[in-house]
Amino acid sequence: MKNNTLLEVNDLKMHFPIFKGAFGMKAGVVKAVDGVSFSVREGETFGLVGESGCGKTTVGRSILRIYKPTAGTVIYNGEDITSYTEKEMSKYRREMQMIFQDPYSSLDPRQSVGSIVREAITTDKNCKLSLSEVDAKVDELLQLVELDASMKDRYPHEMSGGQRQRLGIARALACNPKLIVCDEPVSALDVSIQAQIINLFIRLQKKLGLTYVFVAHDLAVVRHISDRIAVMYLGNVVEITEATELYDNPLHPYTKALLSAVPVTDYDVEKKRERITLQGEVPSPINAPSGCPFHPRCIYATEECKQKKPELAQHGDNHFVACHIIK
Amino acid sequence: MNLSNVKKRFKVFFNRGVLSVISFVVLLSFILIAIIAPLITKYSPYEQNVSNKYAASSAEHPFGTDKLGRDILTRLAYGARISLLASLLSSLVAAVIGLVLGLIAGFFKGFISQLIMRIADAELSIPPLVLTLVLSLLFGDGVFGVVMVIGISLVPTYIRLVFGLVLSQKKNDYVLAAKLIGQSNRKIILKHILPNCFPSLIVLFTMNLGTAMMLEASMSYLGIGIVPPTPTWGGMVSESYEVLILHPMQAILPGLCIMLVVVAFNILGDGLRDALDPRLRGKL
Amino acid sequence: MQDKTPLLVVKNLRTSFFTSAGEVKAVNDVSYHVDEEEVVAIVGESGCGKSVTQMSVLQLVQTPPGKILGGEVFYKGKDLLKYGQKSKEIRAIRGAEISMIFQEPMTSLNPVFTIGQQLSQVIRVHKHVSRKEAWAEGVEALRKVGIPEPEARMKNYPFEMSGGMRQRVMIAIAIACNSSLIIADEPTTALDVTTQAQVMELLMSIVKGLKKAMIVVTHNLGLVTRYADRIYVMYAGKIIESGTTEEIMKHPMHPYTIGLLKSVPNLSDEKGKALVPIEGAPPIVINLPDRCAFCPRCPYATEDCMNASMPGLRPVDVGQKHLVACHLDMRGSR
Repeated sequence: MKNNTLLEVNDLKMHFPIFKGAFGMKAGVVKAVDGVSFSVREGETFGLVGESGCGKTTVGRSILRIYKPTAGTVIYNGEDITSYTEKEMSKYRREMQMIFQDPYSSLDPRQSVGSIVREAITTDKNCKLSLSEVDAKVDELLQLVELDASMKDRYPHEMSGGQRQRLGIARALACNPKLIVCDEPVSALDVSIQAQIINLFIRLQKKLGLTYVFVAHDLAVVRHISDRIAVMYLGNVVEITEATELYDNPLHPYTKALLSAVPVTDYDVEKKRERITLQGEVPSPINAPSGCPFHPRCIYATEECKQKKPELAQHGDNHFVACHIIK
Repeated sequence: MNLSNVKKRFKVFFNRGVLSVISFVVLLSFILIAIIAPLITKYSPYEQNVSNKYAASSAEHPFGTDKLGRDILTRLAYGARISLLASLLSSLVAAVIGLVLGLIAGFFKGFISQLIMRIADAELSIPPLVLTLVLSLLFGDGVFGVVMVIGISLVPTYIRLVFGLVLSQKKNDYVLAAKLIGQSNRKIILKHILPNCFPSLIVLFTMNLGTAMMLEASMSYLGIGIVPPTPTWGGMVSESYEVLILHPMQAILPGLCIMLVVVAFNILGDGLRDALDPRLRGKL
Repeated sequence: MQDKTPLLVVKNLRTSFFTSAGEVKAVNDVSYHVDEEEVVAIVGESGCGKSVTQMSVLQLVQTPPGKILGGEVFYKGKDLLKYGQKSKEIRAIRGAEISMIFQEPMTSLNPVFTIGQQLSQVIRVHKHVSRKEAWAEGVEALRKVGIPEPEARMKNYPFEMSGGMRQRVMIAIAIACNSSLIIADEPTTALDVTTQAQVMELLMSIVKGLKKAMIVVTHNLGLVTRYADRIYVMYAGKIIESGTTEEIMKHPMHPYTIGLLKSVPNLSDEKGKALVPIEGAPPIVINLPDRCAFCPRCPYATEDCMNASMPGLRPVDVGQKHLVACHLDMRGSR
């Protein structure tokens, strides 16, 4: 595995103001992401996992500079792109792509399959391909994502969910990306189709040397595809470690609860597993609890947890946990 | 767009049933009548014959004559020219202005968007007839004046529709995806947002053709529209209201024309919306 | 071993939707049963007819385009299909005897009424109690499903609650009406993982504690492994395999079930284990030929499978309760 860092996120914060009333008075802030740091090596898959509202999608979109982060830095390819303007961003625009959750809304219903891929090829300012070369490239890309070339004249509504997701991948690949942020790319698909798409992601990575930031709520899926995983809770990363280690040796109480909440299909294993059912609900990111964001639901919480926010600290090889309890 | 696509679209349109076909035929024949009006009758729409006023239907005058003894068929045919043209042009004016302003207001947040929307709201809050009265002082009478007055008074509905459509389009991931492949804002609007606005726009457009026709009639009635003796259907209805009981056909005939055209435009609009929608094109 | 008395017996149920494209045989000759105090899972992908089956049991299928074409639904010995769609009898059963919990609780609660109004209304429809008593029972039901400050929550509107809370309200309705059977249609699909665990644990504690029976309709195989006693696997409007959870999860016999289990990423898998996807996509159940519907996607399919007519359910071994609808003998071939 190559070890050069492709992406580095340092103390990223993304706060969205809430406006209320007729005059648009600022009524508060949603701290969607509140100090997240991690780095992604070239060619690896970095999983971001957490429940809805934990800020994983916002992190993904901040990396792509769809949002301008409130604080912190995003360093891509050794360059600080945090406050790049749209024009400055344009040199990296096509290198950083995204796969969307909803394969329906991510494709223009009025564009044919061929035209969607063609557009992604020809928007490149340096594209000097002739018309027939573009057509050949379209065929090549469709083949890469295992779509039949005969689908070129079809429209998205004539395709199944899995085919649509393949088309979304082809569009992203048309830009020759290095980094792809996959935002819940399989959660809208049928169970028997999910595996097809996951395998496609793995094959493409091997073939093209892609780097993925894989954002999802399904732990089993994330674990399957990722090399390293960050678990997020309420805008914070609570644990980062290698995929196997996360399942074999989870340390953060939230990670443990999250893992135990996912049933496995192995009957004997399942019947023996410890089940931790969390109490209460995830607090709103508008008035997040002080100290450790997880303390109101944590059975080990102490006075220290209520006062002081824990920092990520190393516990073993490549294993970082943000928890006061773990010594 | 290639030929087979066009064919498919026509197929969807006519597959909607008998009504689509009828409305298509009705509109075509009215347009034809408007074009070949001089060939249909030997009279001029202005030719008066006071001695023969309110004549009943006869071989000479199939639909009879009006209060000045003018041939009603002739006036209907020539009226089709003015009425169709005025409503079509005014709706076009409204659609173009409304589309441009709505796109700008919807795509770019900030001051300009606020300004456009507040002006549209202000215009909507003025009663249409008062608005047309004021505007007609500005543009004067005659066909050009009427087209501009009706056009401008219809603009806000387009702005609001397009504004809403753009906002909902922008939420779709494909707009974001287009941005991520490096597409410029201008191209995103033209290639992705605009085409997805068209179906609703076409429906509003056809509905507004009816509204425009009504407004034109109201204006003629108030004497601020196209001035007599120029024949218009709206004008013919208002001229005949005094004798509605005695000679009902005087009002019914032009009224029927208005109704037929308005209904036909609406059915046509619905059909077009389906035909333009690729989601329906496949289902044959 | 003495068999438990079946609470619900569905026999040869057939429901079709008549669309312009043709007849959609959404439920095609489906038979199953639920015993007292039993948790039964109906597993399948979207479009396999698992939900329509449940809707048909309560005659909630929209007619037209849907139509229940035949079959019998015995609930506590009475055939529900004999009652009319709008009859008093079926309405007394819906909600009171059999409660349904849907995937998206937002749409099953009326947004313009408070939780309390809706809860006490349901109670008053099914029990002859005063307004005050119904309200008190509602508070009690909310307390039982673990909603904090139930008195205050009664005055909330559905949109003021989270998805997990709304799902608890739906469960509270089932408790308040003292239903004997709960049909949960993808009850946790819209919820987060930890909330899903909360809601399922709650449902199970109620089913076990109050001795109710439950049908869980889901595509989530893990959920089924954890909570169900017995499983029916559906594909293209038919039940293709049934048996106890242990039997099916350990020794799946239908190529579809085997394929599903191999294609779902599992937390307990070894790292690096490749997923084996089922190729192709589930069929649209219009004008399917009379043969095994899984044939085109089946890696084991033989020439005979293509030519033979639809296989019926048969025991895997003589005398066994594990049934499978497949021409092939998959024992030992996995």
